Amino acid sequence: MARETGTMLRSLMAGGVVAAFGAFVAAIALTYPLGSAFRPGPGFVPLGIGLIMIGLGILVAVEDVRAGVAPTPEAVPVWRPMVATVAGILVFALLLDRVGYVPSSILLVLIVARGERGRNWLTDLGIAAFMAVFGTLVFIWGLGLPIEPMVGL
Amino acid sequence: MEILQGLGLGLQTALGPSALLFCFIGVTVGTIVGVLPGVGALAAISLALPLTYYIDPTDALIMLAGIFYGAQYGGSTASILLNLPGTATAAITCLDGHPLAKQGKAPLALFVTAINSFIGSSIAIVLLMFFAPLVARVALNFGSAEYFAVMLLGLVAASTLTVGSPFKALAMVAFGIALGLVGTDVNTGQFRYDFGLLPLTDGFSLVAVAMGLFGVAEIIANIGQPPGTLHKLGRVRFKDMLPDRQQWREIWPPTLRGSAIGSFVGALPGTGPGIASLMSYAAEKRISRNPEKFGNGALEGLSAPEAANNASVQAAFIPTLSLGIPGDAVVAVLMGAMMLHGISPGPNLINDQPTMFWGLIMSFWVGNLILLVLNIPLIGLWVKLLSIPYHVLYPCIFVFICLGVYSADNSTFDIFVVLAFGVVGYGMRRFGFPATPVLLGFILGPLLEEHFRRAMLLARGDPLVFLERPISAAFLAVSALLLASAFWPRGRKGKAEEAADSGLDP
Amino acid sequence: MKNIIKGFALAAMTLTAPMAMAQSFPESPITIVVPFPPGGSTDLLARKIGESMAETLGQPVVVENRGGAGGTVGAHYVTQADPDGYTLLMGVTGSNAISAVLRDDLPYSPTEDFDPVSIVISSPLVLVVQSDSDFESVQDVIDFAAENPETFTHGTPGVGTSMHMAAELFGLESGTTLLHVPYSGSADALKDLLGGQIDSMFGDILVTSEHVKAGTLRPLAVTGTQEHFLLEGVPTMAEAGLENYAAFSWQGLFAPAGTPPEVLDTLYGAVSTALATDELKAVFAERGFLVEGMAPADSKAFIASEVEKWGRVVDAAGLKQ
Repeated sequence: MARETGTMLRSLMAGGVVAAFGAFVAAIALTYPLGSAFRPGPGFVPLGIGLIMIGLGILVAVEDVRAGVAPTPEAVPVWRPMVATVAGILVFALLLDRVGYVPSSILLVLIVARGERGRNWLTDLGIAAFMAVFGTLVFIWGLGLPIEPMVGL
Repeated sequence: MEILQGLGLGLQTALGPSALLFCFIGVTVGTIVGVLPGVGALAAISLALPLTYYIDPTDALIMLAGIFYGAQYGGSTASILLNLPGTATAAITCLDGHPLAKQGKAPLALFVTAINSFIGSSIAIVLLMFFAPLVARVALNFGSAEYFAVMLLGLVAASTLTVGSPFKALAMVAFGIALGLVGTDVNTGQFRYDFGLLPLTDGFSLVAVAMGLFGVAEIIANIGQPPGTLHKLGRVRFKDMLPDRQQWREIWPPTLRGSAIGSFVGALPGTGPGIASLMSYAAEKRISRNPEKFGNGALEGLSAPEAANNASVQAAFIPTLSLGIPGDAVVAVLMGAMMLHGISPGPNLINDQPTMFWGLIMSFWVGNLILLVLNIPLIGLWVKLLSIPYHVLYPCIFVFICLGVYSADNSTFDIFVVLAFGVVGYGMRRFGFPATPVLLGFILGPLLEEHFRRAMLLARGDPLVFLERPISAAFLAVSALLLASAFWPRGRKGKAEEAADSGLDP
Repeated sequence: MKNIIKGFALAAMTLTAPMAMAQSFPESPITIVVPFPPGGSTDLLARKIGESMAETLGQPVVVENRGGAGGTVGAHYVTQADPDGYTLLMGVTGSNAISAVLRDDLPYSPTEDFDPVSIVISSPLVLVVQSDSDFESVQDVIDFAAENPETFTHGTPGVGTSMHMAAELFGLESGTTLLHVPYSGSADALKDLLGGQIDSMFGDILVTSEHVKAGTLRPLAVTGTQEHFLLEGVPTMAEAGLENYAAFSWQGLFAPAGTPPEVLDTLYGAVSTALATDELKAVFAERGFLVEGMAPADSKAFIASEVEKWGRVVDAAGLKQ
């Protein structure tokens, strides 16, 4: 029974998120001028889209609840890959301008690799070294991206 | 006869040693950047452009154009094999291309895209050669009301093209439009949803949104999963690539329809290959006898948009070369390149610079032939990439994605954007929301709003303008029909009933 | 390939290096930030001037494209660089004057956060209509617009662009109100003008002159103070009846505020040398640019006058965000 309530809640959640996002869009749209028919203002379309999303969110929720089944087979969240990915990309974006491409790409590879259990550190270091060299050659040297390979070198 | 003379002159130019060399460099670079996830044609051309300050203008254009259409060939590779689309076009290719790869038919899928790219391009080049001024004049008759109607049709099409709940698809179209609102309002200059961040005043970058929703989300979902059939392909034989007789029959008609739709959409300035792909995919799905095949590896769903996007890329040169109005954003950069060399593309180009005009057009033939010859042998190599274990591949893909989105504006801001959309995309998958409609809403939404508001402004606020103008009214009628048919007969019926229905159809 | 070219450039510079020994600036490569993607006229100007400046200064000049938000992202980036003359901006009318008066929330001030090196070039616009239009002259437009306010349409590539400002100034000086139809790029506006969806636009000289030659557009007046060599015989706005009217778009080289005057002078010297070369003269003639080459002090005064002038127009038209 608890499981059924959980499914029901999750069904409501999908539509709920859509509707809430629509409400957010519409609320901000109200701070922009709506304009007239002759000259629709910058708030006109955003308000419309926000309201449409609220409506569609409700329809999605009704549909999901009626269907009464878990929305997808992927319903069980997998946190480890997600956390590793977010951390890896965040580190890369924050460090790229400060320390250069080579160290930040090595960190990116090593961190996102933690998304899987029981990996071989040696393999990961190998991938990291390869990408550091490959990226420097292709993107910085070849395509001429304005990034330092390593700051202070 | 003038045209024949022009063709001769063009062949002479395009087959000259330097033109051949730069054409080859262009299409090769194009293929490579197309294959690399995250680096699009626009970024590649922008990066290559400064180099062309030092070479002959005709060669420069031949090379840059080669990058542009070469990227269209390469762009489908990563989408089909890894479900990693960097553009809207590629996102459509994924819909049926990736399922084909999952069924172990990656060589076939890649072969079909190469052939169809060639056919689509060829048809549009013929159009460009013989009818450019005429087509351009037709395109000029499209005002904002007509554009609005075309974009609306595109949006309706976007919501009907994925499998699953039409409400969820519609909600995702709306979500895409909402994302497209971010940035500077064209009509008033007002910043919307910028939250005080200067880079957001230009809106989200398309590449970053696409790479996040598809690429990053896909990888998060795949990390740690057991490898599927996708990664167990053996040696690729030429036989595996060739479609059989039945498959050819499935491919031909959609290819021709796709080329026609692509040429038309491409010739309209301000559209682009993404819209062309989308329209042709939706059209195929609508007229197909078994629409349920779409999304599960239908060859029609792969061949039509693939022909359409290449046709549209070549057709985008029609308004550029005959009017000086770029057909899409990438061609706009190419036009900038012409002006750097003191050549102003416009109505006089064909008379003032016949060597360049015809040389460029004939180089399209040369380039497309090179691409065909280049890409078919490469299929074996790309498929072999799949034999690299996923745990080795995915960290590399993350580096490519990050560098790719950085290259668009040389700014780390887009890396944060890609990350944010990766997380959002992963959440959407878990709740069964399709990602493709988001991308299409994102592309079409701003155009829809811009043309809606301009049409209203020019009509002094009279909404009837959309019905009074015949072209616009016709497109609106088609949209209405499409929308009605999406909700009506299919509604809540089970698969079996639906199949029975179509079986009764004479 | 880029690096091979760079290699040649470096080799060439090593040969000319003794000339630069006398002065201490510059000792390392100089970066010119172009606040737009490659391929535009600002990019072209920066690269062409950069090449020549590199020869004079004996150090490489690197062009970096940092596009976004109408040039304000790149401009803001440069205001945050060290004021040592090694990071410069190729600024334009929008990034370094109009945006200041249009927006209160701009994170920098064009007048206070920059020390101009030189306003390098200027370029007038041209008021064009379709070639079969009923409007034969500027006076026709004024007469019509005076009787029918908000009816005569003009297309622009967006709010606050120099084309938009030129049109608002036209309204202000002639006492009329035109109907502004913004587009997301000047090519879109040109398409609608050719297709007869809008009445007119204040267009780029080079692009428009091609259509004038082809007979598809009719020029009514140029917005500069003298006849333009790409449109001979077309009157200026002043000649056409609007006495005080003058509007240009311009481009200039800017250093962050606080740059030492000697450094500005060295840079200005290199700009002046560049402007005197035949190669740049040819580029400017092709592109329809007028050479300005203002000295740092004159440039500063010019920016102040531009900010004042467009401020007046923005206030009168009620465009402030």
